Amino acid sequence: MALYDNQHWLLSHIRNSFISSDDTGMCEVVMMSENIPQQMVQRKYGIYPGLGESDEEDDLDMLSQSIDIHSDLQYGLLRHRSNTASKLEKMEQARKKAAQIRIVKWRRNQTNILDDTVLNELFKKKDLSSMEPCQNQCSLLTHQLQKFPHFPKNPYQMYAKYDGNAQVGLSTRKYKIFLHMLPPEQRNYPMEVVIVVGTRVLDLIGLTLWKCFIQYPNIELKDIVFYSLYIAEDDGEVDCDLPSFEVSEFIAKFGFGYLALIEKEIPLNKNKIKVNSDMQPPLKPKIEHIDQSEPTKKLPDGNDSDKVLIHNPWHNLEAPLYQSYRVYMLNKFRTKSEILLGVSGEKIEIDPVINNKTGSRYIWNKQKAVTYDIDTIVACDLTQNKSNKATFRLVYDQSSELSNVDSCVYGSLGITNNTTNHNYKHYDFEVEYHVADEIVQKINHILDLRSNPKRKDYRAIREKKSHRRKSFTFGPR
Amino acid sequence: MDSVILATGGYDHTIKLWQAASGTCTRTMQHADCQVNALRITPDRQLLASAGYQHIRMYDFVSNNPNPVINYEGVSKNVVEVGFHEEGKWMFTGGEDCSARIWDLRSRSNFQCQRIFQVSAPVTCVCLHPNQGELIVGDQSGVVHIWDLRTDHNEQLIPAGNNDSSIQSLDIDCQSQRLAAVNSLGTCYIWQLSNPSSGSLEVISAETTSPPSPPRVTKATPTHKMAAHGRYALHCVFSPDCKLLATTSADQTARIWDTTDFTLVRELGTSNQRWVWDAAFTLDSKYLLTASSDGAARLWNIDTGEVEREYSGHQKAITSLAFCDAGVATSSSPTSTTAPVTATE
Repeated sequence: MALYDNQHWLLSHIRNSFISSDDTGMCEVVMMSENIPQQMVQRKYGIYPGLGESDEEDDLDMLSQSIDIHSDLQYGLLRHRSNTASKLEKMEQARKKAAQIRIVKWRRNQTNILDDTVLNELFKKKDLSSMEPCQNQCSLLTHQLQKFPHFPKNPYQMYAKYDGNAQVGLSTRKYKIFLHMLPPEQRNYPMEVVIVVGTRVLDLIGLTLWKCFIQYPNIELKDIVFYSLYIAEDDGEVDCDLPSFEVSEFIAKFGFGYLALIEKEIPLNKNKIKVNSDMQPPLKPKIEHIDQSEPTKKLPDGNDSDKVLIHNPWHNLEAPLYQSYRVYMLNKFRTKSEILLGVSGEKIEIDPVINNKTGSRYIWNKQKAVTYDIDTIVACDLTQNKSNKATFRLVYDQSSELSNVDSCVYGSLGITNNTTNHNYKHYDFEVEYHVADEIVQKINHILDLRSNPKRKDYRAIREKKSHRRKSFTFGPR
Repeated sequence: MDSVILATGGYDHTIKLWQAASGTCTRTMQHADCQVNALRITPDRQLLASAGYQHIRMYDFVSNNPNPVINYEGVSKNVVEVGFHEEGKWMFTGGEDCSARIWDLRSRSNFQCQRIFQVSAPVTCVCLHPNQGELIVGDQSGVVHIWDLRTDHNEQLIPAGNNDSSIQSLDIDCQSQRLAAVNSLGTCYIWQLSNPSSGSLEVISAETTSPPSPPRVTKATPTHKMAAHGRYALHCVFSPDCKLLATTSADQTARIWDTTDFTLVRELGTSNQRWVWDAAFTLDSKYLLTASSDGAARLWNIDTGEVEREYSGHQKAITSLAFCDAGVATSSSPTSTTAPVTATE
């Protein structure tokens, strides 16, 4: 680990990062005039003892540059990529992929009259009278199943779907997990677990146990509530000073590559594991759980708050689960089109509902299927509540062209780009009030769970606007 | 290669291959941009065909390529069904563009023979008559069309009259005795099938020289009608021994019916199962595979009604499955020497 306590090095690094990550070249022009690190060098290296002792000009040059940055394009992997370059590469990959696929287009017959011989060859009716009924056939699958009549059912099967290795086109995270329930001689090497993004600690534990069950059939595993995850060193040593991960937290919160799974004598507090609501049978026990586990959350006005807790279906934990709603989208000409709104922890999908009776007649009614990453969504609010229908507005930011890598770089340098031109667009939807309320709550919960800079920007702008409006209505002070 | 093939596909834009006996996922393939409406294995077991929005894609079983190797396009809307001639001479598809199509698959043939059959409503299901010469096409307005591929002659069956139900799935048992259809009201219809004439084969072979006599298609006589499910029915399939019929539905169950009198034999459902979109029997008619919206495919023992295996790995609903069983060589079954193949979409 490096300690960046050297001001000279830091200044130089930041300067170089700025210049190299700016494709327009403006940074370089602006910063050329005041090269502070160089001036510092001229002040005879007061801050950096030992530098002056070197007589060689080359060394000095080395130090004034950031070591990570090479102007040479050969080291493309180290250099922060510009959007254009990565886009070009993606296009190239898509082109290569497409070249491997043979495309067969539908075409009509060149002649209208079909040759009788061809017709007879292709569409000759088989004589079925001689066909024997296929009875008492043996199936290979049945045969295979009968070989293992007591095939052990993986008790953690429901976590298998989070396995990142079995996914294509989904972002995943890799963890190396030391399994402490194994006999000591098998513990030395961690198990590599790849999990899809947007999952929780409990899912990671479940997936690890699922893999364990397959890989180590001789180990007796307990119920999932007996396990918890700890941070570990790369040699497998568990960091016992820190508490175990809260099972209901998103794993994305934790950036540790090495973890340890530890079996406990006493199960974790039971109500904590009510996370995977879709896997759990009916709602009723859940309501009870909320009642029991969160008495402290009751607001002063007793009974009512209880109801709020129970009837609020998008309790934080469930909000990111995928759910789709049939709602009406309000279009420009005050026409409505029915769409399917899919809301999940990662994205919002808008799919048109094909309606034969009305939809196809009006071209302007047609809504294309679109998907928005959840990070481009900045707000979702109820806008109108009529007697039976309510409308709500979904605001998203179209200027989200910054790739993740770039935003990470900006983030790590502590630079927030306030000058980005935000391009806010919105959709209006109409649906029954209780559904609208549910959707708005769900989306807001998801947004609350993620700390999205775009959303903060949007809120700041909105606040500013509302201030302006207020000062206007109240007149000059 | 494992000769039992199980493939599932759905709303998460992936197709997964499974080791059916152990329940492990062996491969995941990408089905970019759209859901998988139907899956089917080619008769030679080399390729997996998937029907999606405007495309039919073929994936290679032999390689590990996650992308399709062939892409059939030129259809304007969703393709909802795909299937093959038993010798792989041609492929049939049906789609929401109100048509059923025949795609000539013979390679290097100068005389491509593509056929199209237009109906007045979006096609919802297509099934090939075991005689390989007729397509049974079901549409959204509730009409079942029997299309003779050689003569282009067609006849209609309108089981539910003028009400607003769409035919959801069709199947013919392998002895060509019965045709089953299920509709969006959960009703199941059964027709008795009979050859247009007993000596049909001789007629056709004679026709190579003389022009065809008045076109005839398979005759269907309605025999049974039953309320198979309380809600939307989604799929129906006969067992290979013709003794059972499976229907699946939005009521979150699959039901097994005895084909002698169409009484309910078994209801297959669990508390976490959701809409059941697709089903396939094993060759011995002892097990049923189902695909459900809860993201899991299941293998059911029909005798006990228990789930024997669960295939989970899909992130969203599974809407289609393709299953290809193989016969086992035992002394008691003479047919197994040729390793009979059944492929179910």
